[in-house]
Amino acid sequence: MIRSLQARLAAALLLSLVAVFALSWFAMSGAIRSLSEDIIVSRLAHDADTLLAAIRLDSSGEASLDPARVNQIYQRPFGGHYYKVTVADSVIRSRSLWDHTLLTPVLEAGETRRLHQVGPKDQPLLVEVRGFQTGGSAVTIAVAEELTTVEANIAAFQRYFTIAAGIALLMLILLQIAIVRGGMRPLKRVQRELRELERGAVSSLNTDVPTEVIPLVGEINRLVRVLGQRLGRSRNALGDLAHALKTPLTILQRLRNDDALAGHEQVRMTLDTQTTSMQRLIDRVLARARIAGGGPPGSWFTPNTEIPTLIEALKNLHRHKSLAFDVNLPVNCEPLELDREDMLELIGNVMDNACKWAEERVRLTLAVGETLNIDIEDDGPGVEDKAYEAIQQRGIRLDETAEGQGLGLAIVGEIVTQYRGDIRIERSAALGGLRVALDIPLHRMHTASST
Amino acid sequence: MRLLLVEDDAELVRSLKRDLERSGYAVDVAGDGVEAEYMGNQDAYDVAVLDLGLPARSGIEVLKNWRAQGNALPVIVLTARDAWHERVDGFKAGADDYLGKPFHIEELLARLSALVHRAHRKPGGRLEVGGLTLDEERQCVIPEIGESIELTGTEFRLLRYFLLHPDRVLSKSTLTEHVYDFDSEKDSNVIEVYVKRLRQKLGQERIETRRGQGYVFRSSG
Repeated sequence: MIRSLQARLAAALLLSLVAVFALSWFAMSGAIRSLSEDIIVSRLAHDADTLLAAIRLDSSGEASLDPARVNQIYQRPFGGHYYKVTVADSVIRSRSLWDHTLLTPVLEAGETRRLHQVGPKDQPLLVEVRGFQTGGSAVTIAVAEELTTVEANIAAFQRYFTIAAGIALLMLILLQIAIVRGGMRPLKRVQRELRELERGAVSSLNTDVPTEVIPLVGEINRLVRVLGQRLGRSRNALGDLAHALKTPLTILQRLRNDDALAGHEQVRMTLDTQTTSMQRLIDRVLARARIAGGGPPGSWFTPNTEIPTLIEALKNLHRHKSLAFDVNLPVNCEPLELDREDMLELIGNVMDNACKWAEERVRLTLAVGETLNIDIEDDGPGVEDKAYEAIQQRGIRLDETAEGQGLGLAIVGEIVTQYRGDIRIERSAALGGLRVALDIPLHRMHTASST
Repeated sequence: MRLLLVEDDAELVRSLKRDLERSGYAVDVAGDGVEAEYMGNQDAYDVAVLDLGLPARSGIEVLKNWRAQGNALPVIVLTARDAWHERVDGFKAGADDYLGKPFHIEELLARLSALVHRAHRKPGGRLEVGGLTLDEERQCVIPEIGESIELTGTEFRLLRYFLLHPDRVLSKSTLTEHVYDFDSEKDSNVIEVYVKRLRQKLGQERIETRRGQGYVFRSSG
């Protein structure tokens, strides 16, 4: 089975065209032959009539032809025109036959037969044989004409026809390739749009495509819509559940301080550990459910408008520490094709962690190149040198152990993974505390380099 | 200190109200957004604790409406919606602080106290005026010289209000409004009784009576 639609179409076209050309080759060759032979036969019939009129019977009943009434072309030896007249038992042959003889049947009066024979010097001959009745004796006249010119004409026609058919075949195949290419162009566009769909630049495929492709595009759009709704529903359900659980959890946690539990240290501790682990689970579920991983242009991340408000929020949340924030943003940065909420969650969490541990200074540096580079440093205690190594080795799977080390970067790992990004944790050379360097690939650059 | 607690979960309200009152706040409760917006505009509150997931009107909307009407009531948002974009939006809407659920009551109290101090331009941990330091956790007052003085709940609330507004004339009705919650019986004579008790503990000259106007707490002894 040929995989390429193009090749399959070309093969089918080639086969059918060859069949059509072959058929017409035979049909037209046959038509030309019978047309030419009909003309020759009508001439031969005329000559036969002339010969019949030229027959003379002498007194002994011997037949001869009146030379004056016989066309000169029958006199030249092997000239291509021959006759053989059979009257009763005697046979008169044209001079042109020389020593050759035509093998002809004896016909009843009124019978005609058309024969193909090989004549003298291997000439192909068309022989018209007619039976007559004249003066009480049966006469059979065979008149022959050489077909070499006709054969040559037919051969020439066939040659020209084959060349013309070949050229036509070639051009038709080229035309078909062009048509298929043109027909496939909308599919190429659909493919491009699917890529845009994935990263959220468009919400559905353009339906301005050839009629044959419309059902396919329609189905894809429907699928995208259904999947989107389903994803949204389950994400919302998950989020709603997690949020709804938080208030009851708060109440349970507050029970710890209830006077009724005074003296029941064991119960208090159990309540404490269990509610804390429930809280952690809820936070993780919420964090996962929240990651969008791309979205429509309306929800893109604009560092220069989002980061200042985030810094304000962080200042408010950590007001008691009066931290100094060094913020370096790219100048005139356009909206990046990254989800605003994901990026705020990512930077917010790392910054919040930095604020928690910092003595007095937190530094945030954003750089936009092939990736969005986010560099967050603090002047806090950092972690032990060995711990950096351990964190590096585990890559971005920080969530299992990080909480114990007070990094709280579980959600950060999730988001970085979702965006196929990269995370590096090390000692800050400038500030001495922790340095978290995040690299988030930008689709804009991605597509630019792939096209 | 009069506090507006906006929260629709009755169980949480019950336990939260008890803890807040124990820490010296007079607590009024609003159970939905519309009621909360109306109450918050009454000018009687020193601070509000606002849940965002409210019936009738969302907390964010309530907050935006307050700010749009020029209401600068210090607000701490207490919500289960604590994603960073939600926090940023909360601060954009005009929140002064943000605390995610579930939370520890100690953290809420610390943030509330910091917020109230900040609102009265008194940064730093403890409230200190004219040599008197208020220990808000233990609800007692420490003079420059001598032992710390224990305070009853109402005395503590009254003194804290005085310390947050030193050298200003405070009418009996203002004091009543900020020391008692909505449901308490309001009798301005009770204020006289408590002022008298504070004078006994801190010295006569600290709280000055302005006839027909109210009281002034003097920051310089």
